[in-house]
Amino acid sequence: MADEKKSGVNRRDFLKAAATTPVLGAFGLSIYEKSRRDKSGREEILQIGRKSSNSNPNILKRNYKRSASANDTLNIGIVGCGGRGKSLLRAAGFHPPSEQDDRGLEGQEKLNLRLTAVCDLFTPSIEWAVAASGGQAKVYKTFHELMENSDVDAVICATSDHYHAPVTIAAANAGKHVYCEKCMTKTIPEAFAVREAVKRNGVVFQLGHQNRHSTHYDSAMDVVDKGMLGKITLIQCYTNRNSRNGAWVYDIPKEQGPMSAPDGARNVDWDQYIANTVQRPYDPSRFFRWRCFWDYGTGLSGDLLTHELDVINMVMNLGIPTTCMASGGIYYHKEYTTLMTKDGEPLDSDVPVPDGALPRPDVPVLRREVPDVYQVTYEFADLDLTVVYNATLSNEWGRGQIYLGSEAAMDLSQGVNVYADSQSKMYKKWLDSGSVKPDEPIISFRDVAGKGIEAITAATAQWTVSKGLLYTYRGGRLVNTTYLHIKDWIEHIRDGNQNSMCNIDDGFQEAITAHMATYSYRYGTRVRWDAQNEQIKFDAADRELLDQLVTVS
Amino acid sequence: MNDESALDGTSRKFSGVQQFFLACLRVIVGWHFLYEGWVKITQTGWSSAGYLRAAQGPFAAFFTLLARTPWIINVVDWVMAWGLALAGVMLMLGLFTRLGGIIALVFLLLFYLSNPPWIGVQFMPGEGSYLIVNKNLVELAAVMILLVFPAGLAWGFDRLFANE
Repeated sequence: MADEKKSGVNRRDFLKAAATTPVLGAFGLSIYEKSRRDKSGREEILQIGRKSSNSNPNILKRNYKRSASANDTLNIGIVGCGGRGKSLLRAAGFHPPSEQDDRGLEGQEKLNLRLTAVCDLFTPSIEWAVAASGGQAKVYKTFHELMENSDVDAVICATSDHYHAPVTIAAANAGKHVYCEKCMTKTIPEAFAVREAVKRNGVVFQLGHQNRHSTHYDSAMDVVDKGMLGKITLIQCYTNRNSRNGAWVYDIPKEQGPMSAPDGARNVDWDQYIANTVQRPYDPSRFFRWRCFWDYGTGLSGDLLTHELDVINMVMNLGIPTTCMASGGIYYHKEYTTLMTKDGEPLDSDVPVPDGALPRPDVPVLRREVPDVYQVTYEFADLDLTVVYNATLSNEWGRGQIYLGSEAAMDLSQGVNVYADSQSKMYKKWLDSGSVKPDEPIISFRDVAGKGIEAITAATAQWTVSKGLLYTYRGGRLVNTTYLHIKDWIEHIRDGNQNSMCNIDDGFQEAITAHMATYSYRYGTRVRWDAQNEQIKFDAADRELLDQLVTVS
Repeated sequence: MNDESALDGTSRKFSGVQQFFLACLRVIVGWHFLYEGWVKITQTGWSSAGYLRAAQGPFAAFFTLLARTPWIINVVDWVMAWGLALAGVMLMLGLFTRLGGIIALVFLLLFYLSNPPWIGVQFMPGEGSYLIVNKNLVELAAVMILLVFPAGLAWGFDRLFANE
């Protein structure tokens, strides 16, 4: 009796014990069905676009594979070692022993370079560069003398904009490869001259748009190439900054003065600085804050618009726009008085002003010439496309590029997100069935916050990661994009391949596009590019007709 | 279905209906945990780092500290993904229910404390309105019930061990 009861209890017990197992089975089935649906839905959507058209040459330039394995040491010279120049050298692996390695370089391949030549107009910068070279670099007073040195294979040019063309041309004519910072030139005729010199001499040229390496653009190019947005007719791009540093009001060192002065610091070669532009008496703001002045810089056009337009050009393979109209003004950063503490120490441009701060007697009030709020509209008439650039240096709201197509929109502000248009025909089936909603991305590429992620906290730093100006994520790890860009240049030099990531044709297009905006802004007219004859023209208004329209009789 | 059996050896008896809904609560909570764990295990590139960095409230410093060190994040991610799934399976099957319940309890307590909907704390917006009580707290209370009642013994594998 006991046995019988026991076995009966066991079987019944077991049934009751396992009662919830079917629920586990139901769980498994639900998961299977859901992931099957998600996967096929995703595959269906990804099949929507046409097959890759391979019409965008920029796609082929990504993930460049070395053709040779030559890795001989290359000798680098630097002309212009200011703020950007130092960043470039750090990315290339050079810094004074007292400094640390830059972020985003951990675990990256060494480039096997030697810094052998330095040319700069500010003595402390020269000293920094020599220290960064390990003490062995030779110093040249002028860049012409540097170019005569056969011990330099390639030159990095990070001078103010008004010297980009002269230095690049001199380097190319001396058979040296060039990495030139943006904007490629300061004027339109210079763009032609640089292109001619680089092509004639067959040197490897790289223009300083390191943001091309941001992985966001891999996805963006793919999406556009597959036609997933339909017909794109409007692209918006932006710059937002809101700091003195962001508005190019850089620090002025305590010890500074022209070499031609009878006394004082005498560490600025002012005469050489203004040699190819308007002669003026020494003004530290014009030297250290050169971006604020038309004599030496190209304003928002050359500094930040070029980053945006160059990348859009890469994604869409656009070329030079047909027409351009720009407007803007100096609305916020009107005047700046450089301060010092009451003990005479210079104040950092981003530190809040302490009590008792006084105006520095050695720095006149800065009144910039370049606008701080700027709008540019480019028409690409043959491509049925408008690109609008919109910038402010007094607001830091994060805005990313947006590509607006007839079937979908692609938003690059946080990673890459593609949203089906609610009126889309291509995605109608999925919109109707509810598996795609207009306010949720159908495709979303995010920087994979993988293992070993880096915490980027400051708002400006987040902005520079999302735009790829400082860093990008590769395999879950933060990588310095400037390093990637220099590496791309060096690899092309070693392979004898001129098709670098941002080559001379890209540079020419960038320069013309930027200058069209500057000319439109400064001279108040619509600028036109005659692609056939490669000429800039200015649209003239029919004055008589217009006057008639507005005459009050 | 109607046996009023004494489940845990005490004189207290539970009706069949009571046992049924205890088991339902256990299975539902278990499913929730198992699915959360499953998604984290199978999703490439998932990391708790973002969530930890967004921690608010008096314990925020601890959570953000976890988020800052890469090797700690690796461990946390692994423990979270597999721990949630394991607790889920245990609860769904009623196998080692007490242990599963305790694991679930610890997780819920951590989730609750990393973003407590308290006055003065800026918390992560989600759907619903919460003041001190939010879904984590409700689920925590549910798990407490599962721990103090013999929830694994009626319709769960623990029954086999109890009747030895």
